[in-house]
Amino acid sequence: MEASRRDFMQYVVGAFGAVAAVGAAYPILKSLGPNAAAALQSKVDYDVSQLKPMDVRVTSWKGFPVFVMMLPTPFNWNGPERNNKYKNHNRDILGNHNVYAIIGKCTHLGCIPLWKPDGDSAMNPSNVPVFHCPCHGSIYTPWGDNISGPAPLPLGIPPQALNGNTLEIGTPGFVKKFWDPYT
Amino acid sequence: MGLAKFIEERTHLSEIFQSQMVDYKVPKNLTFPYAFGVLAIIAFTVQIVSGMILLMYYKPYDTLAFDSAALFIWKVVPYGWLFRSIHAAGANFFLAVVYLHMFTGIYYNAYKKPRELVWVMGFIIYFLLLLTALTGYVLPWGQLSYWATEVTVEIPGAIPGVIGETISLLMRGGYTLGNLAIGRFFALHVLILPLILLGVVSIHLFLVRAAGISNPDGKPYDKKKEGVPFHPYVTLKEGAVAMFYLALFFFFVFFYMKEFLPATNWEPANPLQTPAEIAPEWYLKGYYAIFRSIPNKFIGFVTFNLVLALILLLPWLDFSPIRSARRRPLFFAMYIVFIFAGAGLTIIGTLQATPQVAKVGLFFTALLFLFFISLPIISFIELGYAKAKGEVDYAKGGEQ
Repeated sequence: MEASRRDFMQYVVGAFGAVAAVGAAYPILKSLGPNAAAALQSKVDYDVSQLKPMDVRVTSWKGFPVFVMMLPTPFNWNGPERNNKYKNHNRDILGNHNVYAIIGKCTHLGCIPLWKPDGDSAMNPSNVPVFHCPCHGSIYTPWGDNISGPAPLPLGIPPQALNGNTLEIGTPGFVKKFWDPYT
Repeated sequence: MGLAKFIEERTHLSEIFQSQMVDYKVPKNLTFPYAFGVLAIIAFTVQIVSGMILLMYYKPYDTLAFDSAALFIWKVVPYGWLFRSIHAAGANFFLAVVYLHMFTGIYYNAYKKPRELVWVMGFIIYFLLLLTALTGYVLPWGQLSYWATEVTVEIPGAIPGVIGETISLLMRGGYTLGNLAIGRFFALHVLILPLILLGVVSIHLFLVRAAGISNPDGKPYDKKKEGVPFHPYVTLKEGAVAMFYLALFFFFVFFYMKEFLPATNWEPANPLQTPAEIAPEWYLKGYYAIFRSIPNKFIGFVTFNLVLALILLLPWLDFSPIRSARRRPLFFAMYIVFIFAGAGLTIIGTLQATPQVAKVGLFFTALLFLFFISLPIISFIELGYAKAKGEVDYAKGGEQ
């Protein structure tokens, strides 16, 4: 009888010890995780109702600068293309969507490209709308495909969904996975 | 002398000295590489002392970190340049000495019965040391610091599903590498990891004494006839080696710091601009070369972790009764392959990642695995050999 009582106490003490260990580990781990402000960055909703065709707005997602843009429909773009493995890479991912978000960080050395809807005088032909990185002169199509300059890869594309007038950046939708040129 | 006697009567320190240093007998044929353990302890001490000084002036905050390290410590604090140089070069020397120490242990098979726990504890030290070096590297908040850490915290992202991203998030404290990361890396680097290291190093040293030091012949030896007192035979020898080591170390500290404080890291961190060449420090380049030579990210991640796991499991992969590469020609050949592959991968890790370099990297990775795979095979062959020679009793674990 003594022995079984002692056994019982052993199990109870062991169980409480285990609960206490888990209870202590939980807040420690949680304190290391993203706080409320950081968690807000993982999903960004952008109201596109105010956007006019050819507009580009800048927002931020997971610390990246993000271009939210609206192209007119129909949109014909007859600028040059780069004939390599990544030819029309982003254009294929974005499909026929005219409202979308791309990461605004040049894949050459990380500057933020400028939107030039009337083209860039340094370019030939110069009248097509492009993104131009001022740091070393890389040129991207409106979909973020690199067409000239030193940038090796197209711009990144965050996962995104279009829900009415809200572009949900970070939510898998018509772009399911983050296409990240840095990984 | 009165004070010495006063302390002696209350602590009996001379008895401890007599029993632990003079009456402690070690094999008299210990070779030069047996000094690397002592050098590692010296390197650890150098890091702790120089780190204590830097801790007084360094500010773990994104807008202050770079200036406190690169301007304040370097230019304003008297002799601050010296302590930062010592700490930066010391980290590289520490890792180098630990690698040499591990290679020595592998060469003399110092991981075999009864020294398996010594090896396991040593592996834990090695792993914690890599973490300590990694967390320390971010603190100067230069371009290399920032981007090398950014790449490192992205590595767990190779694990599919939410687990990988969760680990990355826990390391950074959010989606961007910033203040939260500096704070936790600082805490890990200056207190948590060194404190754990101190404990684990103590256990390692205790286990070395408990199991007894191995000898380069790998044969059982008569402690009375073939042993020499640790003091003064070994203490003086290792003291001389230590002085030579420190001379070499300070040569680099004073005259050749450009490899230890690279130019790219004298530019403040810029989260919008990746430097053209971004690679980890040399002591991680081997794993890095494996990781990027394999075209699949997840398989690359698994492979380099597998190498770490195989190093940990070395005592159980190699169950041959014969110890020391001196008496194992097959093992010696594979040991050369192992060193060759390790050095090859480290060199490959410094080159730019072209498809040709990736192919060479795969070749060296294969060689590395060839070493680990060959261990059980060599062990089987040598087990038969030992049985034929009637050495099986010794194989079952005689004290040596």
